[in-house]
Amino acid sequence: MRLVLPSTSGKAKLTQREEALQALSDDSAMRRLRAARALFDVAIAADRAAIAAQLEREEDSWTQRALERVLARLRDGAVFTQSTQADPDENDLEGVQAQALQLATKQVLHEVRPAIQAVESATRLNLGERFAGSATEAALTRLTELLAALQQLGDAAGAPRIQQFDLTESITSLLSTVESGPVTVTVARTDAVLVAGDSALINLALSNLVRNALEASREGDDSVIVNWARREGEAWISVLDNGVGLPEDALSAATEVGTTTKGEQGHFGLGLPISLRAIESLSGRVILAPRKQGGSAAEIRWPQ
Amino acid sequence: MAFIERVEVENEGFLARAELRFTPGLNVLIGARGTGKTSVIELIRYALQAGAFTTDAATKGEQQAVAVLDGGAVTVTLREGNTSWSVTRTSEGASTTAFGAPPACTILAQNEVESLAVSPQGRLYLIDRFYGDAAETERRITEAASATRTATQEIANLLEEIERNESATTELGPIEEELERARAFQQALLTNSSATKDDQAALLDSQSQMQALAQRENQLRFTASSLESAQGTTVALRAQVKDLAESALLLDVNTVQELIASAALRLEQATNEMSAASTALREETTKASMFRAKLDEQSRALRRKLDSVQDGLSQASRQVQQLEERKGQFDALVLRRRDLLTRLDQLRERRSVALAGLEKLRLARIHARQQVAKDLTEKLAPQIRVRVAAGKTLNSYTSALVSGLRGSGLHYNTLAPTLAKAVSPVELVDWIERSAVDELVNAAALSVERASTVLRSLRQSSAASIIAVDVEDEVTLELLDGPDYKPVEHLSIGQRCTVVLPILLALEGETIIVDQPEDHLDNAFIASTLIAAIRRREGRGQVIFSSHNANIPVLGDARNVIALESDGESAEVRAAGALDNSSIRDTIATLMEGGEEAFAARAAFYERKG
Repeated sequence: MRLVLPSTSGKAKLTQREEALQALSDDSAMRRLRAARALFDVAIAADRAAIAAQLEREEDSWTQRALERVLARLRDGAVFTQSTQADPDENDLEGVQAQALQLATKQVLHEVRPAIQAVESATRLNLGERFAGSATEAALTRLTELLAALQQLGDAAGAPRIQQFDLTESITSLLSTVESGPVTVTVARTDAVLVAGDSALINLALSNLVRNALEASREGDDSVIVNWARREGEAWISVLDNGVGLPEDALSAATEVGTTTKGEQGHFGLGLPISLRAIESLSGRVILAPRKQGGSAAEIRWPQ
Repeated sequence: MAFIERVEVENEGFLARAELRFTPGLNVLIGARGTGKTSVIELIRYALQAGAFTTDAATKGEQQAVAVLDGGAVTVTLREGNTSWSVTRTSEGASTTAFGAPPACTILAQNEVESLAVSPQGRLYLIDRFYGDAAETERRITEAASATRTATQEIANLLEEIERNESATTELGPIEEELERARAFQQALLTNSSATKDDQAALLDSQSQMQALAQRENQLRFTASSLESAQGTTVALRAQVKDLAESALLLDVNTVQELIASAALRLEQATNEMSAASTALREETTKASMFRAKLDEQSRALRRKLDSVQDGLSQASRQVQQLEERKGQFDALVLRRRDLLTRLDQLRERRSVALAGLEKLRLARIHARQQVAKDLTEKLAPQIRVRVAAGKTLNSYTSALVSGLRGSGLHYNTLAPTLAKAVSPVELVDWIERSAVDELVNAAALSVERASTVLRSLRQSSAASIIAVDVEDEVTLELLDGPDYKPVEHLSIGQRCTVVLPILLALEGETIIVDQPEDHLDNAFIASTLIAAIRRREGRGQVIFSSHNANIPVLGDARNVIALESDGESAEVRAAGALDNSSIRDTIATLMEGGEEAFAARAAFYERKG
């Protein structure tokens, strides 16, 4: 007796659409997503119920979105595009500028650092014991400090690494490393405040604001208060001092590196630019305002 | 079940010469403020390198332990039946272990309980404590992710080379027709000329040899350049392994030293062989070009001779020769391209195997985590609910996109999060590699122009950093508060602890140590829920608490209470023992109840009320 095998040509070949519908219940999320993408082009109105049922079960967030888009297309016939909510300004000069700044500082530091080290060791050799305490040593130290500040400015222009973190923990451990002298730095809360952002950039911005506040204070009975919170779509930190106050155009002057209210021995006028740069990298802003009773309030805000 | 039996501190520091003995079951460290309760706990964490749920707790804990040791060392001994483990660690960080690595312990500092509750990473660590092979799974995931990244980087390099190959091919253009025309023209001139048959044959022969030679020379050059890049990688690897071999000399493990040394030797051989191959290739290339120069000279002589019998023949045959050479180059490029595409297929295959493995591992991890969540929810119902959702945390992915899109002229801070939500890393990389603008337009609802800018700017360097990006699962801890469950982030500090502590105590089979769990808790919760959880744990794992609250040792029926005392300079054990030990009872009454008198007054107050 001959065994007759069913002919393979008799079995209907699955269309791309049928294959995709089947693959929606595959174990692999990668394959389900691929199927959902394919359905965007080939699904027909009759598939709506099946796709909606699959959407209910779907756990992978990308596949969910892809299925939603398939359903939207089937319903409206057309796809919504983002053009309605496109940015008014397509050119992101801020990003380009940040990248340029980062590259420029990196390049300068790379070239200048070894040169200064060479000068230092040569001078040390030439002056021998007279080096310690000399004007040259002081000038070299100041130069090294300037480079460190430049490094910070470059870091502030870095690409943000967004993470969820406890702002309270981050601020408290930052403040524990700040030399506050005779002035007390008080924190306004101790409970956890969960925010999204780049804690390194935020710390960079905050440490410069706190240092400004401390330098404006300098008196035993002055105090600096740091407060923070997360509110609708935004997180903020404020630094309040009752020191000498800021010149009116401090913020606009800050965009021009090198303007400072401090004397020769202070910092390099890079503090505020660093804060600004760091917060701009997070699409946030810095607000400076005089307080009624004297002193100033500095605030940083960034979107959540 | 293993438990911590003993903690001994050497002759230096705040706890110099202290020896603390623990028992299975509930142990409570008591003492006034500043008597070293926290120090003891941090020393245990330090010695066992038990890790922490938040980075802050890890750094602060280590600082405190090192300060307390003041140059000395601490030894922690664990026991399970007749087996014991002993770990000694000095303040410099050197650690010696007797009898192998000890079983794991879970240790939480003051405030770590509530800060772990609000940290997404901390909550994941918490859940991962509950399934045995979490560390192994994590290791295998890292391995698979790294294989995927390497393959993706190789694919990116290969695609770049294919692109270069394509533009070189286009530049040379389709030359078949041009060559045919030139050959026909030359043939017409030859037919009309009085050139001898031999000279004609010699001319045609030298021309076709020219083509073969040009092809060979180019193939040699391509192989040389591939070899060069492989050499670069091998040399770097050799340097790395050599360093490794040197640092392995510091270890006293002979097999490891030998194996690494032998690997270094083989890499040395490999680099030597590759450089020999490279020299041979160079020689072969030189030979080929010398041969070509010779051939060129011969054909020039031949051309001069032919030109004398037919005007313009020299010009025509020179053109044929040039075109034959170009054809040779062209053919080499086409062969090269076929080779590159085969390698691309192989790499893609290798990557998709790695990706499938990665997906499987992540799936296994999420299932294990969800099982943990389900078990915990059942055990702690109805007060506490634990849920785990797959791949919800897109922060690393978004960051990778932000750094890839910077300088593209797009608003990356707004675009990256949208893109991360709409498109999975794996498909995005596929689209980057295929420049699949339409797919991105459809999936992310971007304009064609923006979509192609996105793909272009991610293409240069980002594919490898995107493909295996860690999209973390999200753990939700909820407390039944009022009419419905509330996520832990929306709870008060006290409530957060009431969620985390019962979960921790459900972790069976290992020692749990918590510094002052009663902080932020009301006595009603301690007396009901916390004590119940401690009692449920009886026989299922040691618990060590430090506490100022009498309810914990007394209602928790502590097996062992250790009272610490300090004169400000150093601290020591004042009393230790079970609850029926009279000095322990006195210490609890004085220290935790405020003395007999205060206790009597409180008792009288409640009697009056009752």
